[in-house]
Amino acid sequence: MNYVDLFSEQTVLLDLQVSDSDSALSAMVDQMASNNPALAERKDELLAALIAREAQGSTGDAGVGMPHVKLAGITDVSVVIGIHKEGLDFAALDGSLVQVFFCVVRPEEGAEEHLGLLRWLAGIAKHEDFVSFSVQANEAQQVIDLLSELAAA
Amino acid sequence: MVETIVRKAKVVNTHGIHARPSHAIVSAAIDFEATIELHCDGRVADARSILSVMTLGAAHGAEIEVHASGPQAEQAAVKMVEILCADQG
Repeated sequence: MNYVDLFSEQTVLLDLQVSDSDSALSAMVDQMASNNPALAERKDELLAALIAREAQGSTGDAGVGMPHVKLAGITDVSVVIGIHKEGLDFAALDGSLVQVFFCVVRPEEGAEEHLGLLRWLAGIAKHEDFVSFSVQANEAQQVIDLLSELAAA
Repeated sequence: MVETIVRKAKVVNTHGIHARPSHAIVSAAIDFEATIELHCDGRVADARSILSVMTLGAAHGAEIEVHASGPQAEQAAVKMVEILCADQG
């Protein structure tokens, strides 16, 4: 699977106008639901799952957060990238503020592929220029192009 | 020359080293002053970084070598093996 294909302009929130991480997750869930009708009726459940999951241990590191959950009854992986220019407290172990969120919701099946996706995202995210380039993007396509470039690097 | 302690572990977690086990690894690693690397299938991760640990993409059954050096290297390596060998769901 080419993971870049999961991303389109509709999966990128260039400038999250929120002041805390729960609100950021909520905005990303709203975007996911508007992209994927299967999630439209399940926004509250999804948001609660993401918040509960993060409470078990932050996925934040080096300016990037990767909140992700599995959800029964869906067939496709959904992703949204949320960018917050100043950064939000996401309880990252390294103390960094999170400026780029990769929010991932996946079906119950496919744990192996999910691990592959997380590995792919983490590889891009830990590139030293990823966060600084992401927050400078003016258009969603620039972020997707950045993913493509760093994935190939 | 600084001695490097090497210990081997097999990933027991059914879903591999995804975010939650990564968090457990990093939470423990940052309590040690030792330098801790995880080696898996030719890839090397810094045990202090969740993103780095997640790039291992270590699946259930994967073999990981823990390389620890510096202060408390032995204890750090033992702790890492303990976490890698725990099924955390």
